[in-house]
Amino acid sequence: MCGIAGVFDRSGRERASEEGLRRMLAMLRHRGPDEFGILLDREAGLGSARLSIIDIGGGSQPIANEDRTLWIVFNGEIFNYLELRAELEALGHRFRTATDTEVVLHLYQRYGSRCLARLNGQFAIAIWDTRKRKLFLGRDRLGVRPLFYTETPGKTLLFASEIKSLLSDRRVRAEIDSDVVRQIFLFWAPPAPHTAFRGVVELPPGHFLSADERGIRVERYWENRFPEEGGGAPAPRRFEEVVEEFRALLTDACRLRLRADVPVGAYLSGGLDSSAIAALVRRSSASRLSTFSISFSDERYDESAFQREMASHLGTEHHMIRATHEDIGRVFPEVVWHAEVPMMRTAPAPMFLLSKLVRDRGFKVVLTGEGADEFLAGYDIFKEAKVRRFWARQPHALRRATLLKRLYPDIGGLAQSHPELLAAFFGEGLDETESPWYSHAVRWRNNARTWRFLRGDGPAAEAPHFERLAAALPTNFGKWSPLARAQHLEIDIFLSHYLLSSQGDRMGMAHSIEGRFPFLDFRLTEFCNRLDPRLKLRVLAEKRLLKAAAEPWLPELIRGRVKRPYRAPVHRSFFHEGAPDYVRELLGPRALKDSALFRLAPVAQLVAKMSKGAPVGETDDMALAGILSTQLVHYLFVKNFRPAPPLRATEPVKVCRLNSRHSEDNP
Amino acid sequence: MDRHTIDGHIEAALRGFIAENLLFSEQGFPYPDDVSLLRERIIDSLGVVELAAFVGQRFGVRVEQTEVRPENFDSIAKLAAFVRRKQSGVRPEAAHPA
Repeated sequence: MCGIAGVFDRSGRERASEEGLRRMLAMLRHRGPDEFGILLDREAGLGSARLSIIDIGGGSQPIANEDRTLWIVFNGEIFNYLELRAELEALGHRFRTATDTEVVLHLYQRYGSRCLARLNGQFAIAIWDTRKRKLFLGRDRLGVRPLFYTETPGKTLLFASEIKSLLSDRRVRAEIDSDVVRQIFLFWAPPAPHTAFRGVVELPPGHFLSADERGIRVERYWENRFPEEGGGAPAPRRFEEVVEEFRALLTDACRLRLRADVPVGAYLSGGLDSSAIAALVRRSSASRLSTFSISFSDERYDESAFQREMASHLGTEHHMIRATHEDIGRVFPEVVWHAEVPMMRTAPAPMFLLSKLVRDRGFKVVLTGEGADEFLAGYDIFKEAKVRRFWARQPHALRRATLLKRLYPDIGGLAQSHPELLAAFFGEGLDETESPWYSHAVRWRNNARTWRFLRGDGPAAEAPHFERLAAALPTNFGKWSPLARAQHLEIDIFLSHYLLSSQGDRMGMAHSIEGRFPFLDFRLTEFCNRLDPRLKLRVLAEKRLLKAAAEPWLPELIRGRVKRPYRAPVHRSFFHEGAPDYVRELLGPRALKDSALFRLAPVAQLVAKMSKGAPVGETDDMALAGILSTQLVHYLFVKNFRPAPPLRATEPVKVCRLNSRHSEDNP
Repeated sequence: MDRHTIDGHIEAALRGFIAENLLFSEQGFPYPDDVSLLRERIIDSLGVVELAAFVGQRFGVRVEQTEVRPENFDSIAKLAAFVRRKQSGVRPEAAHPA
């Protein structure tokens, strides 16, 4: 795992500067502290900060092809690289290293952009073609690994694994995009390809970019898809057969993800998904497995009893951090520094603490259960949509609405016990079953309540935002099953643009920890998407297929438990005795005037409400996390941005200079 | 007679509480008293709970679980009427067991 960065002056006028790349790489040091590499070729430069996992001695980047006309820097892993390498060798390719990076380069040389469809992995790639003077960037299907870019008015394209690396270049100015902030408050994630910063965009998941003097083109090579409902559905199969095939795919997805020249651990949340993965890892290796988990001092969030049960069932060496309100409040600025985006919850903070524990125990790689809830239908929002559709057929049958109580046992004790109140909360837009966002309408409209704190002309309507989002959906989206539609929204927005980034890559990479996600193996996601929805969500029983497949591996306590979402405390983390000073400073009038994003009086009222310990609802919690993290983004990246000093001459930096007819390794 | 039963005082207290604690509004409660709090998304599920707790504490009435329903809680006007009925000892609308 690594960080990558680069510059390319498409006008051809300006030379790429080594000093500039050293600055960019210094901002990515946490991602790849083991060694650095730089390629300089007149108007273009590539940089790599490497965390060595495969071919530790021989895999230094950048890497060139045989005739040194193509150069690559690479962040991530290609899990099927051994198979691809054998295929390329049979076609006459010769390799100098044992890395997956070199395999990607040769595959690109042979197939061009079509090489991406062959890769089973999590990656961000940059390849410089010295002959065509062309830059190629590629990103994995679901966006496990990040890649951002921007272009200066002088046509210099800059790209990097993290935005802070781009901001180290004086030509790039950080300015918060208030429209994106509004959308984050609505959808919990920025809409692709936008970031919180005006003019800085991501290369979206499943896309590649080619840039040369004529222009920049961004194209899609993969899309999450589902079959059309009723149209040519595969013949019904025996459930047992499907379970067998699923089990085989998941086992293979784990096997490939255990390929590493360093020890691999596993996260255990206490839930079904990570338990299944840990069990598979344990079965496929003779050595003792190390597992890692988060417990909470606040027992409303704590799952440690389940984690211990699973760890002892597997006989793992189990490591645990205990996250307190104080911890979460203390590390939140660092969390936002790494995530670079406003967040409507604090759940990334314990993940940040966890990755530190993993690193302190000497690990670089962990397998986790990410993705099962999306592709196998584990979330309550899928059930909520199903209940609302069922109820919409007989809107006066209030008894139907009471099914929602099962999903939200935690929402206000009084309110949830009355069918009329449930109907009032969940009944809005009940009959709009053909709306593309039917599944998420209740959640999103509720989220819009946080707009009360945003500056701008009153609470603008949500509908134009929904419509903008719907315009970017796959063309036949409307013909998918209702469950598929809900899953896709969850995958495209929340998984790719929050869970895998703010809560995933960035929290791991903050401590140089690489997460690997067997459930996100594209063979497995495509298999799951083809299945009949009833194999995933039957009546209101979630993840039916996974439960059946994992049954033999898990103890009864885990198999039969009630699912609980992973969350972390919000207001108690920021309002307690001895809470850190930055909270009140950034929520105070001076800092709010500085950022000019929020309305002063409403924020003051929210602070007052939380300070006096009044009951605080979900919307209040969301608003607090959103406002505070936005204020931190503003403070850390706009008002007080501090670029790291560039890499020093004494550090292990491999510099390759082309055109000067020699390449130099330093030291 | 309790001073809150004087016309308008209950409404004003409810408007103030909602504006400050649920709406975070700079201009007080900017809606008419008969606007639906639920439909306009002025309050959410926990908001109803907060409101019930406030009514109990501020007006010294006991709010039964079965009374927390839209007929009693869905607007300033309905809620004020509910409080008056409670204070005068009239049994307010209660839900039939669901």
